[in-house]
Amino acid sequence: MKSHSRASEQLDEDLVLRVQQGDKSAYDLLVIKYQHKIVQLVNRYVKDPSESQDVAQEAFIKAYRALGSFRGESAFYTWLYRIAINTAKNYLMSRSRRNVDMQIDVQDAEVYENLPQLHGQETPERELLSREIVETIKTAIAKLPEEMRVAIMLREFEGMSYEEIAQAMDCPVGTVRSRIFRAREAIDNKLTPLLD
Amino acid sequence: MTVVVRFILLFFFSIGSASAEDSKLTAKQILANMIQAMGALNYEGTVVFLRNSKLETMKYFHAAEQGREQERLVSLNSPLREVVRNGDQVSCRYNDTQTVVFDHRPYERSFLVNFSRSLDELANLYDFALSGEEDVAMFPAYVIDIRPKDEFRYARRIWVEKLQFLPLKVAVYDLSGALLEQVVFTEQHVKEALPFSEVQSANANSQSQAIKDNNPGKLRFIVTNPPVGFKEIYFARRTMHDSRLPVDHLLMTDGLASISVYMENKNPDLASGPRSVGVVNFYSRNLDDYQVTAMGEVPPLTVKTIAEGIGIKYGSR
Amino acid sequence: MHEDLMQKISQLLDDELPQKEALSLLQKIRTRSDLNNKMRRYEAITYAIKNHEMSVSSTSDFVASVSSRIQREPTYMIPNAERRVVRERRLTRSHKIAATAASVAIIAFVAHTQRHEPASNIQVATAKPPVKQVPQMAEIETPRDSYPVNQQINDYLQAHSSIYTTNDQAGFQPYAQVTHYSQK
Repeated sequence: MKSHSRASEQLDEDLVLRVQQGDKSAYDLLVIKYQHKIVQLVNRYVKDPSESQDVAQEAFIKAYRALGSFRGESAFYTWLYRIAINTAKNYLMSRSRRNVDMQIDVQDAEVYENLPQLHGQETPERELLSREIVETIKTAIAKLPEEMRVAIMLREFEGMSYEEIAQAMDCPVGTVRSRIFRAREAIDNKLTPLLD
Repeated sequence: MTVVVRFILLFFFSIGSASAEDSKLTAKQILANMIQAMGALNYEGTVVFLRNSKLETMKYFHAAEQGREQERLVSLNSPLREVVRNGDQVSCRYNDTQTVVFDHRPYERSFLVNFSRSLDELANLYDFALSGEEDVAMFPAYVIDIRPKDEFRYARRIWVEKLQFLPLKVAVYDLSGALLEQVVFTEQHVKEALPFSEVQSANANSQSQAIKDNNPGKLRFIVTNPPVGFKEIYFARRTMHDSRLPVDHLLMTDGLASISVYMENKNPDLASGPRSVGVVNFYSRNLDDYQVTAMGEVPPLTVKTIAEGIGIKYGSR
Repeated sequence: MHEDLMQKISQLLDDELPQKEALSLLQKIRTRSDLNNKMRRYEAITYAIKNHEMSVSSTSDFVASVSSRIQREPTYMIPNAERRVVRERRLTRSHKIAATAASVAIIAFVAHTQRHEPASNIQVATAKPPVKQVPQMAEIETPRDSYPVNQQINDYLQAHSSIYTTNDQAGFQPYAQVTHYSQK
């Protein structure tokens, strides 16, 4: 495992420890860190942006309740990820009106893998906005200076760490850090009119 | 002339984005379309070469018109240079020394990926598989795996853009699946036309070395028992590294991977045995008064097998 | 918004921020909605680049909603819980069981009765390896050179393929070629 992921895992472990020792505000920090990923993950199953918020929140609550038995045998995010999937599946089952009085055990969740998914609830307006946003991002990337474009492409598409990108581009890690940040800022500036 | 700049307008939705026609394409068909597109289209972009843990970014141009093709790579980093392929001729111009070197390379087709044999012939040596679809530089692409049928060659993966069938990324993997080398477009545009670059001719301020066409005589060695599929396609006698005596250079290829075999007088600076530089493996050995070296983008065993199968052809000197 | 903070958010998303700084940044994000929004937008950009579509983002009050619900939940008190994770993963299974049993004995949970999610073996589906695993032969010990290589190797590379003339190996001039050739 690369050292940068280990730093992230260490942070999670410290926060989990603090929660287990009574500091609830530490759990807020875990929610902040993983809110986007969990909402995205849940939406892959639920396919409704508004309901995904509720189901994702439920996943975080379930994770908190289970934190007492979390032993760190896997990374915290891996564990949270699984809880989120099961929460989403349970939600889908309840929507399909099957008899599910009892809570679905993790091991049984796979039995319901082939449940028909709810149809996506994308509105035409949302679809149009989605296209505009993606097109704006593409244009913004194309207009980036060469070194910024290469850096962000290597990061987003090749999943390279800053250290690897620095070696590959023969520049300091700080330069890579700055290039990726400035690329994101440039793209974000272009998105502001669409999102505000 | 109107320049049509193409940006991908294909968006993925979760279901049903691929046309029925797309879904019927096999890996081989996609590769065939790709080879065709690479030769016929005018396109340009920025290419990143990742070799030996080092990355280099270059501007890439491919111009095609009425059967005539030109490929051009322009470096973006120092030392500034430009490499141009016009059919069989490749030239490399170094800005800092104003040196231009010309060479004749009839066996090369592309700076990106070389298919020098038909796909049907290659199918005897490699399996082609459509492994999925991914985005590269925000373009949707087919992922094609080219897997060797034996241990004498490396696997490749090519990401072929779905609309125009141009390669977006090419990766070479070793026998364990580790990435060895990669070429990837960070942007790519197809144009209606691109200008052909006129290769600078020699002038008072530049040095150039031109090809001299002559009869090199016969190859002074033979390669016995090369790994299956590798055939001799080209022989040259060159002057290299200030050596007064020429170096025999034999090129072999299986249609995708190429191996060069060199024979020259013994050189104490080059140790016998195996070595590697990035994706390229070498194997050298001494043979009488000569040193023979086999090298190429193939596994170590392959160059070793070839080098150990070299015999001198006495009487051909 | 201070540029330094925005850059740190960018690093946080890439898991490139040292632990202490990440903790400090998360604490700031917790109290500043502008930082939270910036983080959500950067994540949305990353998602759109990779997936070609707009992401479903968490709402701006997501964290606050979860936090308020957590306040109504029981508070954990596991006074002797200790950082074991990194060390534990190196332990053998029997050591893990012994360590777990010892810690379970002293867990105190001040609460209403709760049904726990059973701890499970978490398996995250991993991406398939990119290529079929080719049976590996006995390896040949191969010394690995890095650039710059010697002149002979460099000349061999350049003669082998024009792609190696694209190498930016400063100091190696192209060799003089007077090429006689025969095409088979």
